Amino acid sequence: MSENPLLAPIHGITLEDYSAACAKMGSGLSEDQVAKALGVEMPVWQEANLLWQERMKEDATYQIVTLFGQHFGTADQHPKFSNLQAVVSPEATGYIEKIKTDKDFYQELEVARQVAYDYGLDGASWIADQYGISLGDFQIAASLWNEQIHRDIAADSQKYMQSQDAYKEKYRQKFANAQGGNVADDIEF
Amino acid sequence: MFGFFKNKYDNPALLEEIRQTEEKWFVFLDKLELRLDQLCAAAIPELIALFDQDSDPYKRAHSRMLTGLTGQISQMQQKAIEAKEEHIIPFLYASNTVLPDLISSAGRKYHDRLYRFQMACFERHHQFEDKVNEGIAALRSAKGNSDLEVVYQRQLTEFERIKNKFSCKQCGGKLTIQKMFFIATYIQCPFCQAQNTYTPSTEIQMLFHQARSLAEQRTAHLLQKYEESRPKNPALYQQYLRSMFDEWNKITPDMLEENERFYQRLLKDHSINHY
Repeated sequence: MSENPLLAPIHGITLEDYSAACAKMGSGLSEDQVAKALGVEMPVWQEANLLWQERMKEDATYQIVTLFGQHFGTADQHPKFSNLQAVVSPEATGYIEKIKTDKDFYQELEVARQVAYDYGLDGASWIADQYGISLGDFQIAASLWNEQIHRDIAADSQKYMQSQDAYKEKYRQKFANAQGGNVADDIEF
Repeated sequence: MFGFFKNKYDNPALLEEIRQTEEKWFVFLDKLELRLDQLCAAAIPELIALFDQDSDPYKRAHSRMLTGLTGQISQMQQKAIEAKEEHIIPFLYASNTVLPDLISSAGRKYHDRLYRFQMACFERHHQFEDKVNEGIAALRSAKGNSDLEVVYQRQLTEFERIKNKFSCKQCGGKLTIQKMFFIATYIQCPFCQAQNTYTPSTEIQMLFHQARSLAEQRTAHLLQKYEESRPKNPALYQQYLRSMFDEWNKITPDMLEENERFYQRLLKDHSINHY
């Protein structure tokens, strides 16, 4: 069986390498650190970065972007990045671990992040400020929980929607209170 | 003769309740629309000013303000939907249950009134939704000077100014950057052959990410021609897409091969969806 040519490494950087690199940059590593971990110089990394994105654009089967998501979720286990972690506090380390092991905690923060944007905040920064969880770690958690959440929705969509609505209401009130209420709070039927 | 015209249904209280409910609904939506207009009128100049003053190439402060505003408009939209679901629709169902059969002339007047109430309330809600969409569109357009062509030409001029101002890190010899690179690139010194790394400025790196949008801006008239065709003419879409990609390739010529593959994919996707 012939391998998909679109999965071939670019300048020696495999899709697993690339996915993990993206995850780690989202978690706070610099481009310099990532290039060094992959054993390449900056021009090589930047060209591979560009061309992997082009491969995803070209791929009508979505195989590459699907694999990218899977590898993104397992970035913590990638051997080239195992010694490289962004500096975080012990409290943040606990939350980062929790978001990858506690589905309800992840889902609540995912809703909180979205509602924060609806109130003019940078949702990703709010999560980072409150819990020390970087965007990269959040995205890794999203990759890890994606399939399970789809199964939950298929099994009981009403229960899923109810918990989502409850989280939304909680954080709408929180952010609205912080800014003195919503623009149309005084208008009722 | 058979007593069909005796015992006509008579419920003036219901007629009054219909009238009051309809009036309350209209007043409620009028207030929301007024608040929406006030929000947009105040926000649009601020959005434009923020966009123009923000030196961040990604315009994140502008984007955050915009999502905050559209979030508030969504709250108003949701408020109207909830009021309709809690007050208008249950009232319609409840009123229908107390009326005599539609096919009997006894209740005809009331069924007609209830139908007019329903149509008036739904139509008024529809108008409100249209105003919401117009408001959101107006906020999204409040971008200040976002002509990508101006930005691109400015960067081309800047590049021409600086392209001869680099020196080899090894021998100090003069390096000329032959063309605009958008990512870090190796430049070999013509004197000592040492490999130097040229890193483009953030603004030039941004141009790469804006190239497609600029190409779309240049060919927007062709896309419009396709979108206005009735029925939709796939040949016009292909003409637009080819022109757009030709413009894109002028801006980032090194990406020609990759762009061509992407062009083929988009054309194929469009033919699948079109038919």
